[in-house]
Amino acid sequence: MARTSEEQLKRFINTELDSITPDMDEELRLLEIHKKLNKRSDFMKFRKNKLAAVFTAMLVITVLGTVTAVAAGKITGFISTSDENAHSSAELRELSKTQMQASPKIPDNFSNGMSFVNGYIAQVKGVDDDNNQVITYSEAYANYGSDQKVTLTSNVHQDLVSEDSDPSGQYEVYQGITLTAREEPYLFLPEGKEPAEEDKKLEEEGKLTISYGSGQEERKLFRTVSWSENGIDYLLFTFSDKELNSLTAMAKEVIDMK
Amino acid sequence: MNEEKKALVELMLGGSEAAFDELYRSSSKKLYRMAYFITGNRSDSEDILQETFVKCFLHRDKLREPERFESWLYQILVRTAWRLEKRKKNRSELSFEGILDQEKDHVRADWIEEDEKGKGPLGAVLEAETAGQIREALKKLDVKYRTVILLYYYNELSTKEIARVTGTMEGTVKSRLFKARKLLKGILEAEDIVEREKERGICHG
Repeated sequence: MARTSEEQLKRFINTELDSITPDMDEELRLLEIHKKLNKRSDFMKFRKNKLAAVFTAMLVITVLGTVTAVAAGKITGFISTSDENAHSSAELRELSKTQMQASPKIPDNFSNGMSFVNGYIAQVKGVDDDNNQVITYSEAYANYGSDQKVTLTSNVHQDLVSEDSDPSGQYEVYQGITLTAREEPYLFLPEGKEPAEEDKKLEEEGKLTISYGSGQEERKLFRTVSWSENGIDYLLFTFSDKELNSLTAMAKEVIDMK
Repeated sequence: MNEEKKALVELMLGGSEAAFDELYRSSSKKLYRMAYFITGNRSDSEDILQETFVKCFLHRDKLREPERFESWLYQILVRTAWRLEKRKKNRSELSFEGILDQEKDHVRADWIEEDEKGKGPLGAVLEAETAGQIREALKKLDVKYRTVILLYYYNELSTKEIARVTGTMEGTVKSRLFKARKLLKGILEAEDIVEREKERGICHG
């Protein structure tokens, strides 16, 4: 008679549940699931590509946060796809020429010892609330360093995607070019986890960006240095412990490139 | 997990929609039933099931070990169901959680094993109940207790696996399991008393 109550309960639950049949046809439901996937996967593609770069689901939000109003409606989201990886900076420079019709400065390495690891060209689409494409352009991503990862992005300047002036940014003029350095706190949360009230408040005040989809809760600083040179917008960013002055020094090295 | 299913999971992780479709077909009924056990509502179960598979494909890069596919899918389903339940705040749900002493229950978590050794008090009560009574009693349990009951008895997961699925400590799972069974017994006994009272009322009526 051992474990009788266990077996009774188990038997009861199994009998009960096995008699439940869904109302909806299995194949019709699968069609519904695919419809939902199609609707949501474009945005996920963007997140995945950015994640491939670093933790860069966040970059979406960062760029989004600095977007100004646009002529044909407002860009409320960015979708990015890429399928060709570059394994050397020379290869990425070549890809930039053909896919961006531009020659951004992409160094092989920096004086702090960080070397090019990999890169790719992303096709970026800016969309409005109704998912209508407002703008499209190509953007080069170059990743440096293995542990303390830093990414350099470059794209031909887009008037529709211009940055607002940011009072919290630190400005420095180098060789006649304005460098803008920023440090923004991010909270990464597992999908579906509710942020604490104080974090929600900080987010409302624009002092914190909350991103979902992480495997665990993490707080990180997103550090960026951006500038424009010869019609190309550059952005150096990292979620590592690299300080802003290190990023600024790297930005100056890019500017110094011939 | 057999090799064929593992291969399907690996294909799905690589982005194969055909493999995803096959995995859906092989597990959708079971997952629907699980959702139904947690929510007790067909419409909610349908929503939870669809959302589970949408998340499964969109977040497939988060599954590191193909062998863990099933429990990972359970994890998505359970958490999706819990979120839905949480949103339905205004629903009037009878919870018997308050009738137990929390501290004592933690201490008594190990009693689960002891209770399994013999017929135990729940076994005696279950024997006397009708399917309808047990069904109603299960519905009255708080969603977290229903979930551990489901994962333990229907999915036959260990308390350790349930802890991973529900994102709680194994001790909490044991405690909830113990408590769930105690609550179930309490509800069934309470119903018995009401039934007996009714019968007596009719007899004396």
